[in-house]
Amino acid sequence: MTAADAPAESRPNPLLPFTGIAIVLLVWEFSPRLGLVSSGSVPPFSDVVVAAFGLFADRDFWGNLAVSAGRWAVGLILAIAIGVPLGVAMGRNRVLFALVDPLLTMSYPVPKAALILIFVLWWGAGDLSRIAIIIMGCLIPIVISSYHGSRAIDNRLVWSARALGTRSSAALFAKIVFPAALPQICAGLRLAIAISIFTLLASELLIRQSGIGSYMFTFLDDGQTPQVWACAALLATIAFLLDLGYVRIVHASLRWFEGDV
Amino acid sequence: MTVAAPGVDFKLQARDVRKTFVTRGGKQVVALDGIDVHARPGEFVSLVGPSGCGKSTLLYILGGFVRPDGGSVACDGAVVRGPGPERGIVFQEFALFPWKTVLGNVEYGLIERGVPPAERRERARRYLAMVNLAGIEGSYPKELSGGMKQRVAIARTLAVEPDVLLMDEPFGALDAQTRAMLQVELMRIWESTRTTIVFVTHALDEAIFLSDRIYVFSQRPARVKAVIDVDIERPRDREAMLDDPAYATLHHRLAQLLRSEESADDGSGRAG
Amino acid sequence: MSLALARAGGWRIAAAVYPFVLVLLVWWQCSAHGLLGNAFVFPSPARVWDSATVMFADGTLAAQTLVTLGRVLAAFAIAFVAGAAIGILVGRIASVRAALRPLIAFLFPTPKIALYPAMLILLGLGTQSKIGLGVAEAIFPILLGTAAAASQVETRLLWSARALGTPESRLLWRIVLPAALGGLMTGARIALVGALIGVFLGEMIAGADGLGHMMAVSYRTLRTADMYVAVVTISVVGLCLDRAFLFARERLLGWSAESDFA
Repeated sequence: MTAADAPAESRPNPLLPFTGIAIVLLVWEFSPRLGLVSSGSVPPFSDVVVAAFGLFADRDFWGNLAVSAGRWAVGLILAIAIGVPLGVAMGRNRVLFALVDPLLTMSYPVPKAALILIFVLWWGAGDLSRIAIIIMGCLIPIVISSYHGSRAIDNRLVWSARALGTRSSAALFAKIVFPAALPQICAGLRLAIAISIFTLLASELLIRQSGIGSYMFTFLDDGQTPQVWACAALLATIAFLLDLGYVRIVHASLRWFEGDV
Repeated sequence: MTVAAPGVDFKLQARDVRKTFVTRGGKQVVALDGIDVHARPGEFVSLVGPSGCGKSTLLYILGGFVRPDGGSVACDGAVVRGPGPERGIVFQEFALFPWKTVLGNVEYGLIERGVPPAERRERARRYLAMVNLAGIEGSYPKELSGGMKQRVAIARTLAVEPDVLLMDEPFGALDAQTRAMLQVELMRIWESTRTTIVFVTHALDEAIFLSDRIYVFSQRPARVKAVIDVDIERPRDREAMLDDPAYATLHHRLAQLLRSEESADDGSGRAG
Repeated sequence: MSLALARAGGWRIAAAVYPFVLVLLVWWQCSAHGLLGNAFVFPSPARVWDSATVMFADGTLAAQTLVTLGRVLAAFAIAFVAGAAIGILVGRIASVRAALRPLIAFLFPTPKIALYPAMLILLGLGTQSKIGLGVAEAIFPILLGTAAAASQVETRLLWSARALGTPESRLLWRIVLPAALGGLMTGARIALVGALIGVFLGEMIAGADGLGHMMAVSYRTLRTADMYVAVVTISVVGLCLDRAFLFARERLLGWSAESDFA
């Protein structure tokens, strides 16, 4: 029994979540207006909302967003294609693990974002370096969670499959190891999504060629503060919705799983 | 201790099986020290012994999941080199594929055999009915009770019609009532299919109720200490059996054999 | 027996060292054969070392490193205290959890760097915005880790403590905090890396000093070897911080040795 099983009378007021949001928005709206914060730095919430609508109407906003989204998707998909098989294989093969694990442990505290400019030096400011940095950024969580997923597999599942006629390692891998590891892999992917979005934006803020990051920075250069905040808020919302959508999809597909993703 | 005479037709036979493990510290532990075990076609054989004595290891060797360090295992005369559908296995932890439905689990082995979909479905349903689980085909394992899961596991293994069924303390994770119920179910199924069964357990009443013969193992390094024939007439009634004096004698004898093993383990049984 | 131990120890050291050796070897060979670009774009390890020694000698390397390190530690410290405090409140008090949950759920998946331009406006181009980004990156792992651990403190544990006479006011200190420590430390390790990334990126994007700024300047002035110096230095800083953290955690939490990877 944990704090979550509190008796009914001390269960919190269901209106509280809304109260929390409401308070934040009210503070945001009125602090600048009342001069508590410089309205040049923090525009009132309503101004930001108006600016957001302005962005919606701007073709450039959508164009840049599409460019960013494309890079992000390619980077993430490649990272998954490399990281999942690698992690799962590491879970089943001690030699591979011994070889790769020290590399991953070493590179974990190294900020991959530091490599952005290096990649640009090698490959120019185009999509290749952006995609490469995205892959570098989210590869580790994908590999780690795939590894844990495949390690945690009950060997008896594999044995049962063999006793039911599955012979080749490849078949066992595809039919048993991979589905069994899927919940853990999906948990790691959730993290990877967040990290990849972050890395993408970092690269675009740094190298302002195209994409939503550089679009946002232009407003900063021009001193259009409400637009900067509006853009940030929109990006936050998009990331939030992606995460929410992802969790929903995973829950629906992994109906058979007995835990949490 | 009977050793199989050459020429006699055994379904499953282990000859002089040895297995040694190396622990993390580098020590060598002899788990099995020359085991001779056999099962005739249609026989129900149990392996009992103190915990950790290696009877599960022997079962895995019989199934081909673990390679012995010495000796051999033959199934229908052919040497066992690896796992296969001729030797089905049922585990204590059920080992159902959680991402598949009940029907998906039971059909698994049939898919591997290349049985066409319509026939496959019909066979799977038939075996589910045999274990009294008709109607839950679409459920996932997480929705089932322990007893139901184990019955699915049995149905899954029986569906490929193995020559031998290996069972590793299959009812160990279940409560007493479910266990008793499943013992009766297993008897009923066995009497209709007459599959050869090798059953590992440390519950003596279970072994006596189910088996034709019981192998008693010693503590590690394990040897076959005794082979007991269960002469109680079939079909056996689980309740009535308890009043049978033959049962009491057997139980007493088995308990005695095991007790001497438990006390011998007070420090002196440790290898290396 | 001792030979086996020595061998085991040897393997351990080899495993720890081999990545560095591998990277160095690959780097050296690639630059020698011009695999990733010419000597300008991809200087050899020797050239980078030369640059590093020059920068070290005239003090710039040390100065910039200290600036960045100071910001990282400041950001981490703020995130640690704030994150732990909020985390415990969220974990233990249902009404706080209910009120803050939508906020946390919304902000957690947000790429904090999207907020950086806004931070620049708010906090200026100096140290504060870099620390701000570092805190933004670091606070969530700590908050969530602490909240998760704090909310799972066994009620029975608390009951036992009460029955043994612990007054309510001290329950938090003596029972909840130690129990939540495990989750906090796991989150803190991730947070440390987050703080480092935040500060470094902040310096790279818009700043006047620090290792990140040094990297950006080197890029703009085409002093490519210096760029590599910056990368290697920040990597070393990251590795050292991580090791230091693990060491401190071992000391503080000997009883709950959590292995993050293997």
